[in-house]
Amino acid sequence: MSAVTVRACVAERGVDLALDLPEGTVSAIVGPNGAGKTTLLHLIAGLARPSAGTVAIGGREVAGPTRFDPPHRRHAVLLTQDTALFPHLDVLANVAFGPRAAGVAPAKARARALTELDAVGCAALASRHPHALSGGQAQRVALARALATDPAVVLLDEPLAGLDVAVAAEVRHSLGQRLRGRTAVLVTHEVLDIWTIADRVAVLEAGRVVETGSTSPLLARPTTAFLARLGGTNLLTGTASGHDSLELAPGVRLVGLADPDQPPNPGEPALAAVAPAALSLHLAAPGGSPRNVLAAVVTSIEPRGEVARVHLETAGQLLAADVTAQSVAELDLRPGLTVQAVAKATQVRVYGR
Amino acid sequence: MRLRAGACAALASVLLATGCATPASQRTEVVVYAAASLNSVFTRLGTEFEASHPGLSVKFSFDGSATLLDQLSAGAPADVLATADEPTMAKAVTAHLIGGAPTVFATNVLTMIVPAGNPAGITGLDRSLEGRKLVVCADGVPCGSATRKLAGLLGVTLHPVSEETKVTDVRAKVETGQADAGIVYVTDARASGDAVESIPIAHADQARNDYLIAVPTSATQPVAAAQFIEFVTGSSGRTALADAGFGG
Amino acid sequence: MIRPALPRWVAVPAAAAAVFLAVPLLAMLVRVPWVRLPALLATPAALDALGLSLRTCVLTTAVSLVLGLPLALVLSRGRGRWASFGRILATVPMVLPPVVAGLALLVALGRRTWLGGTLASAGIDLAFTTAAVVVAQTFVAMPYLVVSVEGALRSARDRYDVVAATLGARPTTVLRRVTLPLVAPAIGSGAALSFARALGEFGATITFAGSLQGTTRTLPLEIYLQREVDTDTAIALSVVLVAIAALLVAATARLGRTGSVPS
Repeated sequence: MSAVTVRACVAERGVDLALDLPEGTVSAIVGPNGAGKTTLLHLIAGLARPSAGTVAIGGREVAGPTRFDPPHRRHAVLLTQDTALFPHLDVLANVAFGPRAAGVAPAKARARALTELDAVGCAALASRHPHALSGGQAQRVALARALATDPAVVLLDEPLAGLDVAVAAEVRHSLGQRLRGRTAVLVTHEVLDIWTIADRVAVLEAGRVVETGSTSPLLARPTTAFLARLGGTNLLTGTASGHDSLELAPGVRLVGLADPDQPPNPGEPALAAVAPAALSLHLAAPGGSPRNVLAAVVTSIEPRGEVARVHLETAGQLLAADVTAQSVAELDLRPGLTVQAVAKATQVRVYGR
Repeated sequence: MRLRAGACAALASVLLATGCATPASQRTEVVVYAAASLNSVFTRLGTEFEASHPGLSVKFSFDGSATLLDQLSAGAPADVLATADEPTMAKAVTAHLIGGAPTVFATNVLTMIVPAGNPAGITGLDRSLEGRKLVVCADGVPCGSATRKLAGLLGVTLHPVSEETKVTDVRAKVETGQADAGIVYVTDARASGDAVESIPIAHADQARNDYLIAVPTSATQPVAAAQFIEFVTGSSGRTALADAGFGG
Repeated sequence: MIRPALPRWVAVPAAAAAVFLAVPLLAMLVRVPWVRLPALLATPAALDALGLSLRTCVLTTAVSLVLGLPLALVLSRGRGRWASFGRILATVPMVLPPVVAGLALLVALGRRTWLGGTLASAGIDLAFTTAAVVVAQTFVAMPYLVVSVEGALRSARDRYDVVAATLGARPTTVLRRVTLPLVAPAIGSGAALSFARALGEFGATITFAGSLQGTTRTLPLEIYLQREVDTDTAIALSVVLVAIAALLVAATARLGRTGSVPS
């Protein structure tokens, strides 16, 4: 059974979402800015009203044509990047806020709050005020506060954005630990969050859910440019011309290894994933017998420390290649230059839609 | 005032240099500090005085008598002081602010006023006031002292709902119907016109208020000031004062 | 970091402004008959006026809180033309000349008016009562609370309210435990300003409520009367008024410094 079901439009935000979130799983929501990710959270939390359609939590309709339950009756708790810990309450009172609001006796609420704080390693901070917390501590306290309400669904809106790398790693660990087995929705831009916290992924684009599924297959066999970028790989589309190859354009072939779980069917649309690091660039087609040589035009060069990411266009599709800075100089790479992109077949994964 | 006089003089010299006609500022100006209740009658008298005394002009400053005294002792440039009661003038004399002997130039007596139509059915300083809203002047200000004296003479005890600092505030409260009755000067009752009805109070003349006028020692135009006082106490002054309801 | 210095000439007009503001108050202190001060203040009239002023101002502040806080809450959420209109309406009494406020109350609630007459026939006769003083004071003082709190509510971001609601708090709980505590300093300073304004209220009271010792003659009205009778008493009472006002302003400033995080 679905813990959360959304079939709702928000006309003024250009959003029309259909999504089921299974009980006890963490679903990552990814997509470009403005795709409707935050609107999805707001629809579930009761902070946005559907112009049409319904939202149900735990099988109970909370928003529909004739019904709109306010946030406090939904058991959907929201965690945002700015933790919004109440500045006038100490940490313990912040975490005890939810139980107190639900009518739990003060002593019991405090005990529950301490348990939750302990679970995120923040019990020692109980008597501090939020302004005396670091960013990572605040985010963990906010998590404890959210979970102390025994929510039906936890909504997380980029909780790790704005934290520095080391702190984010710690909080990510806490989130992974504390969210396991709960129904949660995690909006993120970080593939690491998806791998470590989420069980499933939904891709939103332009207000629609364009892809849903379990995390590993989706990231291993991306079907959208966004997922591919998120997974750090190039996505090329074409028609399967064999069991391990596809044609990007008439005469432009790419050979790789067929994905055993989802092999391409000859004659049907197929996809190929190749990591930027697996591509090498040459001014002329190299000798020997590399099977994949794609003529490509440099569109831009993006320095990334020791390597440079070279953005290319081939057969009307976008491609990125990571090469050393030294290569960029030696090849005198510059926008407009035509190069030969070479990939070993073993580095190309070919799969059907 | 002094600043303004300086500015006028400067302006006058400019005008003379450009060959203009004799400006008004070349006239001798008498500054009169007068009790607020004299406002309309003195304004009228001022116009008449200027018409009959070429070369003289009058400027007025109206306020409560006690306030006028404060201003005078603070060095206000008054050529004439006219108070609405005797004690205030006596204080001025004691403080050596006044040169010669003050002259009584008018008297005022109290009357009762009720809103037009007398909705509360008041008949006088009697039992008709029971449970009604009577407003009087506060003890200490001239009309309040007179009210207390009159009530004492008549052997009545007043139970006012408000004791105002200014007699005009008593008037306003009766005019608007907030109060059922008020005790004010006859001159105020007359100034209120149709908005109120007067109910004369017996023996009111025994608690009359004397209006006194005098020249302060600090006057810069004592001669012109004396001329103004002469005018106020003369036949023109008496007529205008009587028209306004003042006694002689 | 060292901030670049102000140009030196600024000190001249600044000093002039400081002197201009300080001199009248200092002059009053100099003029106070200090030796007779206790005697002047211990008269029944003075004590009645002081007591009445404090009583009515406490009541006014309480009424302003009970009615003004909800108004500030509603206005702070308001959008569009009606909210702007409401905000203007709530601000106007602040800037009305005192006598105009009195006249407005008189034509609205006077005995000869429809509303005043209706109230009177219901047994509520405001004219010349202490209640009328509170009405007059509330009319001019409540806007200070409303404006102060509304401003704080509007600048406070609503994220705390949102989070509190998703944590399961009903609207009343959110208001009681989050919204209001967060603007507590503004409520405090708004209440202090209202109290101060009520304490200084003169025009509306004398026009609308009258002046009777112990009933409607508040401190400013007593000063107004004593100015006609005995200047020394007037000054002595004025000093008391200035002292209370200064205390209130200091308290307000302190609340402002404490900021939004009472610890």
